[in-house]
Amino acid sequence: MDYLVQVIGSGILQGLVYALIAVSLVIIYKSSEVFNFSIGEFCTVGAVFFFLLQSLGLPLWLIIPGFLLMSALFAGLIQKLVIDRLIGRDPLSITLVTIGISTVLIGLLLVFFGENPEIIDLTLPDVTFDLGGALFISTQVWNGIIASVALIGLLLFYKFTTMGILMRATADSQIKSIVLGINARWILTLTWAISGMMAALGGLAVSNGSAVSYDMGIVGMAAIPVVLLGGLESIPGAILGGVIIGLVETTTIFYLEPWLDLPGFQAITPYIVLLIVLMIRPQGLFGQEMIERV
Amino acid sequence: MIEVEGLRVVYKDVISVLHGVSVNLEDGQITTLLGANGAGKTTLLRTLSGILQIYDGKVLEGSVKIDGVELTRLNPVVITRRFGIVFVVEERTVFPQLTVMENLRCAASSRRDRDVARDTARVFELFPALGYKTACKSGYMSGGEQQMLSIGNALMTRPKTLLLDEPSLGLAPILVKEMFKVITRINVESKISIFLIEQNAAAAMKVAQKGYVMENGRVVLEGTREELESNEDIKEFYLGADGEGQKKDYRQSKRYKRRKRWLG
Repeated sequence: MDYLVQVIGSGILQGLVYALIAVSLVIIYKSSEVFNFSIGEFCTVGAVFFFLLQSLGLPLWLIIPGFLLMSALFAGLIQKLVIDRLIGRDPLSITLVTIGISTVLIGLLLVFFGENPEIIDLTLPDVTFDLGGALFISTQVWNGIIASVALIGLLLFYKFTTMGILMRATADSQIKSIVLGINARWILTLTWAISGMMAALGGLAVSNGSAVSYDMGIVGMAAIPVVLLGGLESIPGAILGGVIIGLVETTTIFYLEPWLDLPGFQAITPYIVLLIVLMIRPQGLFGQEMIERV
Repeated sequence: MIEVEGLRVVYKDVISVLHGVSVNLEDGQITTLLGANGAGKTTLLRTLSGILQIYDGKVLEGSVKIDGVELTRLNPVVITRRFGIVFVVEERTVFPQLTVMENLRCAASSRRDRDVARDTARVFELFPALGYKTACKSGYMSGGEQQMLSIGNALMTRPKTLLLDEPSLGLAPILVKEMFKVITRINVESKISIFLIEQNAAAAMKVAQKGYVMENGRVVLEGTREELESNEDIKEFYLGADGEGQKKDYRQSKRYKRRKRWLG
């Protein structure tokens, strides 16, 4: 029983981090049908920004807004410099360009950050707790808290603020927003900036308690089954998908791997689950319901 | 006043759609534009609102001027914000995933002033049906309600000129009547000039002060309402009067010739 609590708890906490990265993919896909393959590098860059501010010896309450702002500017800049020129092209071409961005970023990270991993230390109070034998270590819990706060914040932002509503409107139809005098290009830049912030938090959570290294971007791959599972256009779908994938991974690690004697099998099970879900619901669990009037 | 002169427009560099169109929109008037499908009416509105480039279209010749300022090189967002020209597209300027209230809030966002509440009230006054559905996702509303919201959204930007692309499309006859009443009210009460594209020629002619008829990318006829209403060709082709129907064969050939003269 304790074992089960441990498995489910760890799964959810890990899943929330996946959800964070998945959401940053979803908000870009929703607004422009571009799948951002450089999301993993956005995570790395965010964590690197955190490391840089941390090594300056700044207090945490300054580091957090600072690195979020830097990540947002960074993502917005990439959008302005590269993606903005391609608006109106086939989303698939832009998607391919993001693979190029990813490669360039890895190269730049190697040059400017170096190949040695650097320790990220979020000096937060110890919140390790013991739930009747199930142990949740502090970094894991804090990651879950950071992810939850960010996700709830994002949902509220989209639901209630004018900018959030404008982002949804532009995602609905760029042409209609343009004829109503909404600057759709600018909104798209902001969407990337927000996505960059989410990815940076994801990168921070991944490297929290361990280290950030230039090739950390591979975590972006973990988000792919998540978004496909939850539906590419749905933020709640990405959150739920993240939690499901997290649970699948931990159950595999705790139950399936010892039983099958197959260490590392947890890298495969998310895709198996994904395959089954997609066979039943090709648009993913929460793929956007096309509003169709009959 | 918006003056269009000798406008030539092509899509994808080869498909010629407008061959020298000239149209004048007087301030504070309703001007209507009639014409068959494919005549180039929507293309003309796309050019006026600046979104032509999004459809891979280009202005080869001619000019669009508002109070003397050239519009054809301007960004569509600037055209809406600075010159108050709002294009209510045929597919309806409604964001289906947003509620009615969110739609209106969105549409008002480009404005600098914060007097949104009064304008929202005005939209609900013009379209009482929307007032009962403020929290409803607009994609689930009926076509008529969506069309109302479409115009409501446009009004939230405080336009000076509305370009309406077939506002009566897909509406029940009673709603069409209602819609044209509201269009007249907008024109008279809010002093908004209206450029109205219509297939429903009879209804459009009733509210407009002036009209143009387009065929194959050219303006073939223009005039005040009285002139157009008394024109034999308009009566037959657009208003549906069937003349002296008994001499069918002869009439067919004559009709063909008359039609041909337009196209020439």
